[in-house]
Amino acid sequence: MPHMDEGRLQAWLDGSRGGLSDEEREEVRAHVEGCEVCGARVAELRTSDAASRDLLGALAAAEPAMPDFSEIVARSGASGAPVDRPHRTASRRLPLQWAASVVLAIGVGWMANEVVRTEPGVVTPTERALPGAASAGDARESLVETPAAATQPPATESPAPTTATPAAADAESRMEPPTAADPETRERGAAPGRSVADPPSDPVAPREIERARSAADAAPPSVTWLSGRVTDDDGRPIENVVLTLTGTNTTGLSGPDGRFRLQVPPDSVAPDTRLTATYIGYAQANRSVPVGVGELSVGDLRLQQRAVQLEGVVVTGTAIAAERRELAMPDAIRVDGAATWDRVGADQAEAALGGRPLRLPGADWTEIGALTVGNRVVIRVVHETTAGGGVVLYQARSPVAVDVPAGVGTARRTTDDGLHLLATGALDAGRLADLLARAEPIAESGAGVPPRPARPQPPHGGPGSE
Amino acid sequence: MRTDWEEVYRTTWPDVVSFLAGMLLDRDRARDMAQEAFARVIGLEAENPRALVFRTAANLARDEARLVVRRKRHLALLKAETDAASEPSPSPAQDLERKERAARVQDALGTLSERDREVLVLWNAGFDYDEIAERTGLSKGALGTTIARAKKKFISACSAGEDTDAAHG
Repeated sequence: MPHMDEGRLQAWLDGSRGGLSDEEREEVRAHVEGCEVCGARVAELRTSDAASRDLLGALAAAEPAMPDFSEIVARSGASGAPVDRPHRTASRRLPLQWAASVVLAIGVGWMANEVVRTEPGVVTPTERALPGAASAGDARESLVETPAAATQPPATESPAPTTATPAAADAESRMEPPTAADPETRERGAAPGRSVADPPSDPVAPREIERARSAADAAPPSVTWLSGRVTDDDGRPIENVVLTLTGTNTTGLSGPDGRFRLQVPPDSVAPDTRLTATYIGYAQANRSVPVGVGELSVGDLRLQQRAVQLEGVVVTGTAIAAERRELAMPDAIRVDGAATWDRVGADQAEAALGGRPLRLPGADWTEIGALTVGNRVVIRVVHETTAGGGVVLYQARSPVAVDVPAGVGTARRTTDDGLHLLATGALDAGRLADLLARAEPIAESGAGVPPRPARPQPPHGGPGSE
Repeated sequence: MRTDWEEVYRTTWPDVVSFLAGMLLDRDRARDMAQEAFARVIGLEAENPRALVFRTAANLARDEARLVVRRKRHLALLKAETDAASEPSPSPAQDLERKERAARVQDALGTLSERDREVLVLWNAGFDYDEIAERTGLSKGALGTTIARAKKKFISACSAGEDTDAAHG
């Protein structure tokens, strides 16, 4: 009888994962038992198995201590699903499929505090959400407990990820437990402390909405409300337009019907105060602000469409450290001064971003997410391809400051095409879009360096190309 | 029953890092990506959480490999940065030795062909032949041979590295 070839012996040694049928395995076994040559080969293979495993294990042995689990939890706060997911199982119109098996929904960092959209078109500055309200514990919980069928999210809805059960199940079913390959179970070091477990705090969002409502209802008569409507050139309403009273903290968003209603803080209107309307893809419009109390109308604001090359701002690289360096990506989107971040649903974000400006070639989806976990803000911008590959463009964390200073903040393109986003105030979908649109180069000298044209993202190889 | 991801994390972390280090030939990035992989799965329910982590990690590594066509170009740079950034350790001698060993192993892996390396690392991580075949584009029937060959090359590359070091040391 001819000897078994080495590959077959190896497959046999690898047992149930070796891809041999029961009959084949039995055949090999019987042969090896009776054949000295093949028996010796098997012994050799066993030795090289052990040696390889031992050597490969050295790759991790030199690592510094493993990060505390809380870091992982923090990182997962804004994380999408496992890369592994069924082939586009959900319509991209489904908002808040955050951690779903699905494509990453776009989530644009949404601050639950400051700007709370209550009724269509009404935005009221309100009490702030407690920073860190979304604790690590929350983030963890929410990954499994939120109902999958997310509907149109309220503006301040908490992140509502869904479990990626199909993906998970699929993933598991395809792999043997690798524990088999790992005889010495690791017993390194004590378990990291369960420092993650901040007691879950109540979801802030709904309460905030309520507060905002009652604040609006109970407004004393001396309060000034400014209302109006934002439309495009053809008179169609535009939603999520950012309205700002210059020189004040007051901002708001237009509702689906284009209408807005802002509460003007007393004594905040100076002669040169103007109401500006900003929306991605449109030129900014502004109005003078009438003086008085009660309900004041500024009528319709018409926004003129303009060409915006947002790709040039956003397309910057990948999150993997090395490539981030290579593509001169900034390590972080800085959000100094930002407080609680939350996510908005895909629809809202997409609308705010003008439809498609954040997409890259080969990517179906862009996700911008921000979430406070513990005392850190996690932000990521992720691109998703049709077949399920994900490319993280940014991921950043930053300490959270409790106070939110006035103003929107700045976004700047660095001279090497990176993006530096500095949010100094509440950030919502519209404002983020605004920031992105206004990205400007940072010049060392202070003199403006013209923005470089978009650096195209290398298409991110065809998914099922195996 | 809820998956206890913290426990999974604690027991699986070193393996995931070494798996990714083998895939990427970059231990710093392996750590980062390992974190990413865990971050993506924690909270999900999984019958075999370890498998889910590895699979996610493998996908991340694959996605990155596709993005980075010319990875090797950066290796020198990365290495330099790593060395510069390395922190002092409580037991420097031991730490250094471990680092050297890891670097040797990494170099040895680097001498393998891309395909051999991938197969070897996937195999070591416990993937089954079906999946290794799918991920590498090799036929399942050829895998046993490839694995056996890759192991040999790898081991001999490792000992060659040691010899060289010894000769110089």
